[in-house]
Amino acid sequence: MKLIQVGYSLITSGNETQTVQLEQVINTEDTHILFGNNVSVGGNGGSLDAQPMSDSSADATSNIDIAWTKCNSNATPQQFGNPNQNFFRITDGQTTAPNTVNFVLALYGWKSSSEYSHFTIEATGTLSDNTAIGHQQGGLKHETTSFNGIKLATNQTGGGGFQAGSQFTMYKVVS
Amino acid sequence: MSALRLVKQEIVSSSVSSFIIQDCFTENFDIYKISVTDLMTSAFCRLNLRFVNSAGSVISTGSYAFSVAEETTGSTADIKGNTETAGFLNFFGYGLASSGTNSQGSDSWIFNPYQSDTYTFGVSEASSNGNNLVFGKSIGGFKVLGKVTGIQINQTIISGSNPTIDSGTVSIYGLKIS
Repeated sequence: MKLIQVGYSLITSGNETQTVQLEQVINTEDTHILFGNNVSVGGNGGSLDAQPMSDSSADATSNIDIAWTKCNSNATPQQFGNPNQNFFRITDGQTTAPNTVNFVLALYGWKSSSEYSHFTIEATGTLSDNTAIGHQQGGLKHETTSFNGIKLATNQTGGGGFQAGSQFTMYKVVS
Repeated sequence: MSALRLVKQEIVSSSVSSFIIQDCFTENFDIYKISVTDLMTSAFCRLNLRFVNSAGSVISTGSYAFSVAEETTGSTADIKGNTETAGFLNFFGYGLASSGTNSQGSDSWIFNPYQSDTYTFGVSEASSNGNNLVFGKSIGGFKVLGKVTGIQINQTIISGSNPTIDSGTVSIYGLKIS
């Protein structure tokens, strides 16, 4: 497996933000992988949500189906299924560093204009009480729009949202 | 040129209760992929991950938090988690008593092991077959600030006696984020 970097966003001090958009980074029908690395927010209780993008527009149509397991070091894993969402959640319970969230988000068929867009998520992180949590998820956006980017957003406003050191990197997978 | 580079490969060729792959995490990479294939053991056991510090010491304090969600073709999935334990249990699935066909495979990612100001995190998918197929998805956080430079793969017995890891291949790849 070869990974070719096609997009990158690093949050720097003084430029904290609640939204990161990687626009026009998916230009082929290859599988793409987005790594979230060292992602933190400025207070307890943040969620990290995502929506596909076409150029500079995020698609908020309620046609995303997700099935996911919530792993939790303090509880039995729980399984969920949620149809017709207008975003998909990479994690909840985000908090301040060094309790960061890290994830591998694989995107399948996002550029295609004839097939639905699929994705899988493997996420891991720790909460403020040091519990480890992580969503393990599969999802589908059931429309054939060609997407070429992704919007990432947190609802946590503390410190301005995503904190310095948070990284989002998109790779194209080639053989 | 791929951003994912092979860093180390360990081929197990003699029977050991555990083994260390040292200096696989360096300043050159931020995220690591660990592919493990066909770890064969002498008895039924869990295959676990611990980290190794720069002095070469296995870190066995209760600083690991992990959760595993399993599915099985058998009757009961063994689902577990622990917030203060001495390793990521079952991170690489199960070792089965070697019969020539029982084996395992796993694919894992490790985040930021060499950054001194962050915790180290891992996610893993593992498939093991014995009498039943078991598929596990693991997450974990190693809650110590500081660099870790290697891994230990060890086992804990489920049944039988004195399990050893007899064969298998571990490949570690590095990914630079910039």
